[in-house]
Amino acid sequence: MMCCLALLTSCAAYSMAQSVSPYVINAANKPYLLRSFLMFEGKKRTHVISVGTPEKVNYAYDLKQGALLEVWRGDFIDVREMWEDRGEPQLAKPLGTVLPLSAAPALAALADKDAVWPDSIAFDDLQNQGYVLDKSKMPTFLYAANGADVSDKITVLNGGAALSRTISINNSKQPLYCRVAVGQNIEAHKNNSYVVGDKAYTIKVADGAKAFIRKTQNGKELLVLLANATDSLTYSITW
Amino acid sequence: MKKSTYLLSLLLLGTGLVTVKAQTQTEKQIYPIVTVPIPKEIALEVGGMTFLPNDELAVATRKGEVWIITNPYMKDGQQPKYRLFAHGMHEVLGLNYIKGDLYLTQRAEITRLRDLDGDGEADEYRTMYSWPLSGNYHEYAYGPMLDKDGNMVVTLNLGWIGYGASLSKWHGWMLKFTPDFKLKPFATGFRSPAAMALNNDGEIFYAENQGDWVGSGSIMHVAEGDFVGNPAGLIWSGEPGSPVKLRKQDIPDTGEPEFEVAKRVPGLKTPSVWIPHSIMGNSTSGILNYTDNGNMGPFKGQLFVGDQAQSNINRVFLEKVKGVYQGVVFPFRRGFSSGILRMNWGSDGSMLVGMTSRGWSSTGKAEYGLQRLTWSGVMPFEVQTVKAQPDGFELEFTMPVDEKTARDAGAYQLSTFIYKYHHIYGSPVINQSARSIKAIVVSPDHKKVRLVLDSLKEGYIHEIKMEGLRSENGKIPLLHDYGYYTMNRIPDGEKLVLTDANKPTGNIQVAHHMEGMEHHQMGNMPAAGGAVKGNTDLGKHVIQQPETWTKGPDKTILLGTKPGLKFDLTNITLKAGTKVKLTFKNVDDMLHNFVLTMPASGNAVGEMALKMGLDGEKYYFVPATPKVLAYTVLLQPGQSDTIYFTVPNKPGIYPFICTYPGHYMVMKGQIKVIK
Repeated sequence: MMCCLALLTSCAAYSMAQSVSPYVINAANKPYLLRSFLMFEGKKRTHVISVGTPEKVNYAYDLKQGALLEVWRGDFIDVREMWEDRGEPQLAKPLGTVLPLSAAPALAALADKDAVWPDSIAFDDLQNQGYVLDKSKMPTFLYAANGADVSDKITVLNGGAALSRTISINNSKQPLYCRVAVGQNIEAHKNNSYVVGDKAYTIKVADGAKAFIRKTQNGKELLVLLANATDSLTYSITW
Repeated sequence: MKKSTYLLSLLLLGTGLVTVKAQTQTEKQIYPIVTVPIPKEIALEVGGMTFLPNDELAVATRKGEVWIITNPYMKDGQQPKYRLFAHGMHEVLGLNYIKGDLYLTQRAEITRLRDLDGDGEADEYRTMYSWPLSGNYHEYAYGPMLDKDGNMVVTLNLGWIGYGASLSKWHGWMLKFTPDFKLKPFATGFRSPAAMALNNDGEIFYAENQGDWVGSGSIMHVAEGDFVGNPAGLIWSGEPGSPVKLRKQDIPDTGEPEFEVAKRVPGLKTPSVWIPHSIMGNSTSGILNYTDNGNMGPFKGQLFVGDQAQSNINRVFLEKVKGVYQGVVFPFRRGFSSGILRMNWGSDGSMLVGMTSRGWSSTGKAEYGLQRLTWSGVMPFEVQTVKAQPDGFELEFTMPVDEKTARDAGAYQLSTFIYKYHHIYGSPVINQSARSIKAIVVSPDHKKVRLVLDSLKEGYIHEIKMEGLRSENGKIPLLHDYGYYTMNRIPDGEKLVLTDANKPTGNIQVAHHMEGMEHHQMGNMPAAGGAVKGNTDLGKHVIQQPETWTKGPDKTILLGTKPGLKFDLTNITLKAGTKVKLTFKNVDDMLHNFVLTMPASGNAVGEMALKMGLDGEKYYFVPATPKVLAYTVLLQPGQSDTIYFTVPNKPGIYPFICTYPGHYMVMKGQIKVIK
């Protein structure tokens, strides 16, 4: 009996020692970009980059889908499961409250306005080309998919109140759609603004963009048409 | 006549012109190591290294950074300077300056880095090619290396799920990329191909690590379409562009030696030079060809091979016999500060050695490091080359040998052995038998010794030990007096006629015949070549509940492993005399055991296990010593062993360790015995 208790105590002591603190990374005076695996909607995504900024506005992006996965404010990311010992999970963990967006590709070639938005694009159908940093070291992601060359840049707006995203297509062989938002409910407001969900976040689309809301089986989607071979869309996310 | 010679010798001695006895050489004396300082805040866990045209050293790390180091040589007594060039990549395990650009391999892709605005930092991270991943930690990627035709070469690890598996496309493959980055699958069968290099013929050699289907680490030549041993990658051999014709079902799992299987499975390639595990190294990790710009002794054209687990560098001499690469491995330099991963030639001919050991144990205890291996210029007394002959070997030395010791069979000890080829992780040494010397011929300049053996065994590893050899000048022993020759092909040619003139003096040191003997029949026979004998006391490994335990065990313990060479319980408190039933389950990705030792004896037992020689695995790396109280067998990943023992009556701290070579330093715990 004594031995059993002793063993239990030693086990407990050991597990407490194992509850180690996170290994926190934060951007100092420049953005911190981190390639890692990331869990999103219960699935391990393997070609993900997370960007932490000095303004403490952070996001995660799936390089093989062209998808802005999620955004969050505050501390950037915990890499304990990557850089402690072998880091078997190799998972980076966003710190703070995360606003999940979508794992689906931002761009698609729809057969018509009502065609279902694809959940994903096949690995071989999107050639990710990496990224280029601007003067403030924020990345523009580059890839080729759906017959177009794409650049996708997400930057901090208004000192951290919002994120701005500009998606540009070049040499596009066909009109493409961009799915800007998806949710149970999307309401159009003045000045090209849209409130998504239960005021979870607000999208503001640039003037002149061919934006429209459509109903789907699961709720609503906000789409923008990129009709020309060279075209571009800028919108902001405020939350 | 004799008297005057004697007087002359005395005179010469007095003048200091005749040296009576030179100092025995040491590695430290011949090849000094210089440590390159690293600023405290930089975790320089080296995954890739390359020199830039301006002689700066670029280092890529496992935490995804690229650092550029100015003056790693510490010229003029100046400290090296570090600047951060790039960051954020996913575990970079290869870096190379190719055709004016920096290329690297991270888990998911080949990346090219460019500094577009000249501010000293990369601002273009261009994905040149991206491959799928499963999310398994073991899917490492290495390269890119430039081949002789201008293609980039990358190798991809298997994933680990209790055994090696190819969970995503091309893992377990060597891939080539044309200059415009079209993929050409090149070869498969890889398990953990941590390093590769070109030899002077521009042929590709890679380093494999002991594991499933890999009895011991090795250096292997790779040609297009080769299947190099582990069948997991074969699931992709039917893909368009695959030059490999074999399928998984073509590969037998019998435990025969690989060379036997290769005779009936065309396309199966066997190692060029085996690196016997635990003797020479455990984790073959870096290869550096000794090209003209190196300055490391009289070994140009040979390969230096680094080891992550044993923090050492070995030297490999290769030759081609009947069109097949084979050769010998010798120790070269031990004592590096951490686990070796990458080696590069500096502009002064010194060797930069980049290291990391996070997640794996290494003999050098530092978490990471960067050192410079230099040559003092002092000629080492070494075996320069070993060339196979139709009836034995020709050893070539760096300086003349003393003829008397060279012609004495007692100066040598030779044996042959091999490993099993099967899905089981690693392999014990099998079919070991002693060789004897029938003739010895010393060349007129005393720099070559031809040994004629009783027989050669094609396909086998030939252990060559030369403890009794001395140099002609100074009568010093060899700096490294043992090596292992892989005899893939026995050369044709004239065998030496045995005569009185070439008959050896003395008798060869006989290692006892080991063929077909179970370890528990060994009695007190000495371990083959090992200074420490293996344990034969089965009373320390009781696998059935003792009959006297009528009420069963007092305590049942379930012990497991955690990643990074750890037991999952490290502090156990038990009363003296407690009857214990302990089940140890190995859930890690390498071999482990559990050995309970006397107080203050953990390190001593761990060190003894390192000295068990080729027989080590046969005895589960448990040395014969009263310091060992109880042990489990050496366990494959996924296996368990249940043992029964009684806690000693004397209170104290009783360490337990894993005695697999090198693990004991981190894989340990203790039983605290109380009244």
